[in-house]
Amino acid sequence: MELVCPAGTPASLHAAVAAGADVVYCGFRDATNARNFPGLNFSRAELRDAVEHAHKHGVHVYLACNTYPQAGAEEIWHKAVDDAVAIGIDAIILADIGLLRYARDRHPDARLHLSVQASASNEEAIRFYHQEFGVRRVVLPRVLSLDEIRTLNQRIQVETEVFAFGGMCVMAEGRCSLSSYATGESPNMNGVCSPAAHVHYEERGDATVSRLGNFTINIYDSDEKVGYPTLCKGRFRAMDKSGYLFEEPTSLDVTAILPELADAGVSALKIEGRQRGKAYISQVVGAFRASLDKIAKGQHDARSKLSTLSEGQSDTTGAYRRNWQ
Amino acid sequence: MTESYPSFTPFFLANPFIRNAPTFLVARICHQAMATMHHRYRPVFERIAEQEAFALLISPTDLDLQFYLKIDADHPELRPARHGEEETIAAQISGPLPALLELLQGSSDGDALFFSRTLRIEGRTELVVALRNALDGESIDLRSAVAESFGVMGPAAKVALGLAEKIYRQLQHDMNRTADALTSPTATRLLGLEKRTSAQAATMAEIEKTIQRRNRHTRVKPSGTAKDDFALPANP
Repeated sequence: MELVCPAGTPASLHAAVAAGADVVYCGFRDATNARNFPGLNFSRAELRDAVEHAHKHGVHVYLACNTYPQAGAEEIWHKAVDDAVAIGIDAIILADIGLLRYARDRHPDARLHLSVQASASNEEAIRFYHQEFGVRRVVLPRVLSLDEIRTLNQRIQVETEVFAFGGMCVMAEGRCSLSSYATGESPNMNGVCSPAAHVHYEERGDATVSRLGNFTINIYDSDEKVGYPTLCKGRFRAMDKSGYLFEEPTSLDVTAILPELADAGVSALKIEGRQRGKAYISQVVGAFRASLDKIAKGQHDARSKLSTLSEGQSDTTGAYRRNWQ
Repeated sequence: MTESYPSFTPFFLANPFIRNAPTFLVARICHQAMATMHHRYRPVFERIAEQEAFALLISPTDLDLQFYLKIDADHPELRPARHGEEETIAAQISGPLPALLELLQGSSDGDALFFSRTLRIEGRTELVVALRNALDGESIDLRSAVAESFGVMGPAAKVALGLAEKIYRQLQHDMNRTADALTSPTATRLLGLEKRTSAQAATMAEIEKTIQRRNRHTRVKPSGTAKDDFALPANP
């Protein structure tokens, strides 16, 4: 399986290449990608240098251009696609059907991947993207179980990429408006979920209060790990009980089920976290590289040592081993 | 802005010296450090120039000293913080100095330090995120930066720094052992108390269930639909 790793800065890309990535995915420094954080991402010149460095080491670079163009401002997204092709990117990750059509018409030789933001989770949807736009790989939403992925892989003509490590989403990828509800900005349109400009932390005695806009998302006791304040991971009160109504602040880690994912026909593993530092990238990519190399030799160690890097400092295999419908 | 508990690191032992050091000397060292950073790592400041200039309060929780850090592409500033200038601060970053230095060099992940509460952030989060991203985009090497600031004495400074790091590691090891020796009797007692509390909570839960079962026989069923008091969290 191909190891697809994140990079938010040139230094992170170098770290990912050094740690054993097969592919590094990045974004331009604007709203065209779903990690549009301040001080993050690549200028055109930086990406050109990054691609040169990666290719020199036999590593591919993908560009995430996976937000939805805003009406009247499509030019920014079109230019991102054109520039990515000119720079020599190995694949462009897209979500919007208008943009997919633009890429297919203008750059018929470009390799196109379908972003998780498109939320294509069934055979018919994937076939549509393949037939209409020549999509060669689909990044599957984090809603599918291992059995469903296996069945899907037997029926579709394109490669599948699944999330292997990092922050979780409430399984409504590309369709979530929670961030927009609280801040007016969303990952789908602005490339950022719970933008940092709306995030506030306050130390109240031993407790830490996290807020998003005008909403208190959580109050952490002194012995609790802190998380990023997204509405989906907030602690709410309902029927006299407080708890994580949507999902807990925990992170995905598939180390334990890597052989099963390979057996299910998955082509690539995606590590989430372009917004994270190069120390995170070195450690996570290095650990997954070691695990995949072991599997190639017929060995497997199901234990993961990455929980200290996770949000909530705990991990889950998410829907892959889900026992609910 | 918040005051944190002091962290028990070897820097903590330097407090008597820092408290009595002449202010101009500390200010001079800070100025020199920032000048070196600005010279060596110009792209950090260019990357962050997309934001307006802003000031941060850096609070090492193991030092009796806070730093005023002004981020400005052309005229950055680092100096000891003064009383009463909280008004001009956009955000405060608190944590043990070793963690702050690791963050500066990109050898630790900022998010992981934050999730584990080693670092605390208050104020305008987006500026702290922008600074973190700008710093992380460079490969900052503090040893080389310190050596460079000593000019021709750089190689000697590098040797001295190596020695200081060795002493630091030994001190850290000894301090950890001292802390363990001091806290382990209390920790053992707390563990015992925790076990007893858990056992009592389990007993209480059993009693509660028994009461509910008994009440079920005598309770009159409410009419109409149950009211769901789900609500988004109240505004602070």
